[in-house]
This record gives sequence, C-alpha cells and structure tokens, in this order.
Amino acid sequence: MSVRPLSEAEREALVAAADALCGGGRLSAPSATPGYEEWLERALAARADAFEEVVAAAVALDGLSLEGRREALRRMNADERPRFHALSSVVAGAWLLVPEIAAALGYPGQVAAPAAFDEAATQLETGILDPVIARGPIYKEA
Amino acid sequence: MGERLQTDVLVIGSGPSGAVVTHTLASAGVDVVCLEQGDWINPSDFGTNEPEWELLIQQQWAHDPNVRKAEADYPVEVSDSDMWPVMLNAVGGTSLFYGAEWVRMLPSDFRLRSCEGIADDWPISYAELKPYHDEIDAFLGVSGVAGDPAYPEGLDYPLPPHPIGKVGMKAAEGMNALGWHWWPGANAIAVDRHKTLERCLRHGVCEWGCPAGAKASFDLIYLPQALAAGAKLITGARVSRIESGTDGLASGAHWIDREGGENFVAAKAVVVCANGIGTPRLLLLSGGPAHPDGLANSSGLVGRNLMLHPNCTVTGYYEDDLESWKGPAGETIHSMEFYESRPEHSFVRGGKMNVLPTPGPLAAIEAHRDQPFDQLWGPAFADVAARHRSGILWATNTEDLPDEANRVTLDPALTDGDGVPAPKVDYRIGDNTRAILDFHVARMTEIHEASGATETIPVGLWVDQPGHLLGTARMGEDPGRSVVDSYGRAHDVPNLFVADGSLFVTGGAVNPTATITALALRVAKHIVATGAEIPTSTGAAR
Repeated sequence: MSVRPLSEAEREALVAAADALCGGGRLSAPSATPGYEEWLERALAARADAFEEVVAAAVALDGLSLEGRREALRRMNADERPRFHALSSVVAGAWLLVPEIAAALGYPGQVAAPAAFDEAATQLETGILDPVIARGPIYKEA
Repeated sequence: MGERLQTDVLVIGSGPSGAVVTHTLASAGVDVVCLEQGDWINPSDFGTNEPEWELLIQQQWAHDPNVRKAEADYPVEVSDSDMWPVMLNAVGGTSLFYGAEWVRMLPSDFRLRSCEGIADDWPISYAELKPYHDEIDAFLGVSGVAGDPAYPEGLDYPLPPHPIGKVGMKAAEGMNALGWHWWPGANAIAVDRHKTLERCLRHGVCEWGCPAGAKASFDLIYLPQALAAGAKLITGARVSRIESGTDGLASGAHWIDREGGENFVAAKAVVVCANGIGTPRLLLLSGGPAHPDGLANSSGLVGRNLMLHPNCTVTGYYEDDLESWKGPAGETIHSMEFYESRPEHSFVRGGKMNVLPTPGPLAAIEAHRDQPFDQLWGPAFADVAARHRSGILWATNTEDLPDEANRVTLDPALTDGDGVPAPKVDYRIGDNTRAILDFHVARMTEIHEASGATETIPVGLWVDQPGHLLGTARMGEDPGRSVVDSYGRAHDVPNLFVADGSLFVTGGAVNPTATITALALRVAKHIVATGAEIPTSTGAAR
C-alpha cells in the first residue's frame, strides 16, 4: 500500500523510531506489538506525501541506542518541527491504529452510537438549564 | 471551443449558497445551470471511514487546499496573511467539511454603525432575514432547543436537539458555576432521518466528512432536490471568466473542463456563489472594456474587507471519562455571554464560544505537541493518548471588523492547474481582534477550571481554521461603499448577483453558513420575483 516497498533496514529503522517515541510506558512497545508493521504500512500510505521524508528521518537514527534515538528525536522536535511532525505522526500514529492498542487506550473508533430517543431530554430534565433560563433574556435590542 | 450551452440563470459554485439558489430557481420553473469545479464525493469515500482517518486528514483530506492539493483545488497565496483560509472544492463545497453549527447572527450584528458607531450597518435587519432562516431551517431539519435567551423571542427549531453528552454536561456545569450564558447547540445534523439526510450516528468526525450522510452538507440536501426539480449541474467545470457584453451586462461564463477544454454557458443572469475567496477572484478575472477594474468593481471594493473569524481554543482534560470520541461535532453547547460590546472591555464586539468533543487519540497527541518532549513522547505517550476520552474543546469564533486592507487580489505569478491566476490573500489580525482572542482564551481557561479540568492547553489562534470567508463583495445601498445591493445584485451589472459569504457587511461572530444560506434564499426569491425585469445582455460577447 505504500508508495514503494520498504527495505528491511528501513522497516527496522521505522520500528526503532516508534519504540523511542511510544515505548517504555504501560503498554507494549511497537516492536513488541503484534501487527504493528502492517499498520505502519497503512500509516505510510495515508501520508504518502511524506513517505520519503519519514523514511529518511528514521534511517538517520540508524545505529543509535534507544536513549540515543530519543535524544536525536528530541533535537529534531526542537530544530526540525515539520520533519519531526511527519515522522512522529506516522510511526506513532500507526501504533495507535493497532486494534489492541486502541482498545487499551479506550478508543472505539468511529463507531455508530445513535442516541436513545430520550437521551437529550433526560439530560435537560436534570435542571442543568434552569439557571440560564432563570436569568432571562440577555440579547441586546438593536 | 467545446460545449456551448444556454440557460436562463447560471449559478457558479455548488456550495451552500449555490445549492440554495439552484434549488430555489429550479423549483420555480427557471431554467438553471450550476457549474462546479469539483466533483461528487460519496460519504462512503471520506477518509473518516478508515481507521487511519486522523492521518488522512493531515494531507489527503486536509481542510487547507494548499496542503490537500487535490485536482479540483486552486492554490491560495497566503505569504502575506496571518491566517490560511480553508475550503473544499466539491459538489456541496466546504459544507462537506463544516461542523454544521447552525447559529444565527444577533440583531445587533446588523446595526453596528447605528448602535455603536463602528463599521457599517447592513441594509437588512435580523427581522427581515428571519423568515428566510426559518424556511432554510425547516428544509434542513436543524436540531436545537427553542427559547435561547440570547435571541429575541421566536427562535425555534424543526427537530429536537442532539444530546449534549457528557462533554456538554461537564462544560455546562462550569458555565453555571460562573453564572454565564450557555445553550444547547443548534446543528444542521439530522437527529433523525430527514428528507435526504440519514440519522446521526455520532461518529464524531463531522468536520472531516460525515460517513453516515447525516450532516447537512449541500450535496446531500438541497442539490438532490434541485436536480429533481430540473436543474442541470455540471461538475469538473472551472469557471475562468464571466463574460460581459458591450452593454456591460453579464452574458455568461467561460469554463474549463477536466480535459482542459474551453466551454461557454450563455445566460440571461449570472449568480456567483464561489465563496469569499473564489467570488472576488472570479470578478477580478472578469474585467473588460466596461469594467476595467474587474466586473462589478467600480467601487474598488471587490476583494476588500475580507473577514475570516479568527478562532482561539482552550482544550481541557478531565479525570472523568467524558466519551469525547462521540459526536456530533457540531457544537454541544454554545455561549453568547461575551458576544456584545461591554463598557468594561478594552475592545469592541466579542466572540461566540462553543464546545466540541475531542475525537481520536492522535488528536490528544497533537494537542500536546508544544509540551516538553518527555511529557509527551516515550513512556508518557500512551497516557497522553488515552486522554482523548476525557477532553473538552472550548473554541471561540471572534468578530474581526472589516478592514479594506484585508483583501483578495489576483496573484501575479501563481496559477491553478488550468493556468488561471490564483487568489492572493492579504490579511492581518487587528489589535481589536487580538484583544478579543486573548480575552476569550482567558475566559475559556476560567470555564475549564470551573468545570474541574486537570489540564488546559490554550491555542491563541488557529491559523488554518475556520473556513469563514466573508465580506469581499459587500452589500449596501450606496454604490460607492458596496458592491451589490441587499438582494445581491451588482450595482454595476444589474443581471449579475452574488449570493455567498462575500455579501457580509460585518462578520458577526457566529458560524456563518446559516446566514449565508438565508441570504442566498432571499437573493434567489428576488430573482424569481423580478426575473422579467432583469435586463439581459444584447451585446456580443468579447
């Protein structure tokens, strides 16, 4: 789905960048998240306009330790905002797309959640609007 | 020369105003052709149908045409602008991307000169426009709650409101604690099936294309009815010039098709509905011997007085799960507390505040972009992303007063894909508007605190929002101080009409599409009523 196939080295560089940006918290790091690489392909396709920039930015971190990558990314965020924005959006955004990660973060996606017929009325019947109504008209005559 | 058509009325642009005009004319039996440079977009094709929608809206489905760069788009030169106007070139226009917040201007908006000695009065009043609003609302099935005390009596909605949700309830608690006005949101989003609109399923992605077909974008309502009534819509039709005869009257328009072929529609009358950027661009492109400074521009005001409604926001995050992924978005509630001028303020006029949910985990990341690196990335990342469920976005639409220096011209170098000169926007945010923005950032922060937010993130100016493009062919009674009369008829060209946001004399501070469509309906009904009296060009086209 990407604009061109990734080389193995490029793929590893992108996953390593993702680990530096998303890993170390309460959830599994991207490299340890099953399915991450498939969603990475999809994220790259969504930002096909930035494909080469994103790949190059990740490859530039090659050979650095996790902390070294994080430090390099910290500098990129400070000095090269558009480049960092593209890279971080794609590799971190891909991780957020993994269904298990999205579920762990409480995002159900764009699910259909039609309102019950009485939901709006029930909310307003709590009396929450009463102070506004009690205050009376506020509009300015003109 | 390619296709050559003939019609009674040519409408240029199929956004909200073009759709209303086309429908109104066709329904009255008028022969009408509508030209649209974009194409139909099926709701099932929006990027919002995909899991990666938050990435797709960064470029492929971005609001900014300079970022999106779709085939139907034209570039907008913004290097001398504080804001980047946004729009969508498609059947239904930018309404495919709007939030459908359906809010009317207030009575004072029409009389700033008389009441406050600033700017100019509109040539029509709130009361004169009200029946047109009511008719539009009924057609669209606008949902809301009657009795908003910020308005005169008589404002009601045809459909019941959407739930304000946990987001709206939490925001309302803060407003009540402060004693400030708020009211459940009014939205042109179908709370139940209505005409050609489906029922809202609260996907939460309204502003990037409603996957359910519930939001009243004008490709889904008004245009289908217009086509059923006999209107002809031509897509992929980029108008390059409105032609005028030797008598100075409009005689039709040249348009370029997808293959680059040149075509012409001859018309007895022309209605321009190309938005506050596209309309002045087209008028300036259409000069001729009778109109040396551009069509309908003897006043020199075509393109001037651009108003963009600068927006500021404060996003708040809470301990509670607010289901902030849930729509509509759409406003959940709004407030007119600081809409009007107040003696204690350092500025005149004000803003309309409203609440939206904060759908999507990547949106929570984007909101935190300016935080220190280690508070967002690495071990902190998952916890920040999880905050998406507990966010409330307070936004303010501010009133930017008309300023002739804020304008649309033709760029001397930049062109669209067909070689037609692109618009150049010169727009600077004035001191008064800056003061309104700063004031509202402070007030919205205060509201969040009153509602119990644990974190607030202010944004003093949304550079690439909104798509409120107003004022560039203003209406008025004095031909020296306006481009068109109160019915959108050009002072210089009596068979040329404007019916979009360009008409606005002042901008108000409400989301403008409700007003734009009410004005368009008024223009269209006037054309129907006076059609026989509208002069037609007898001169040969140049």
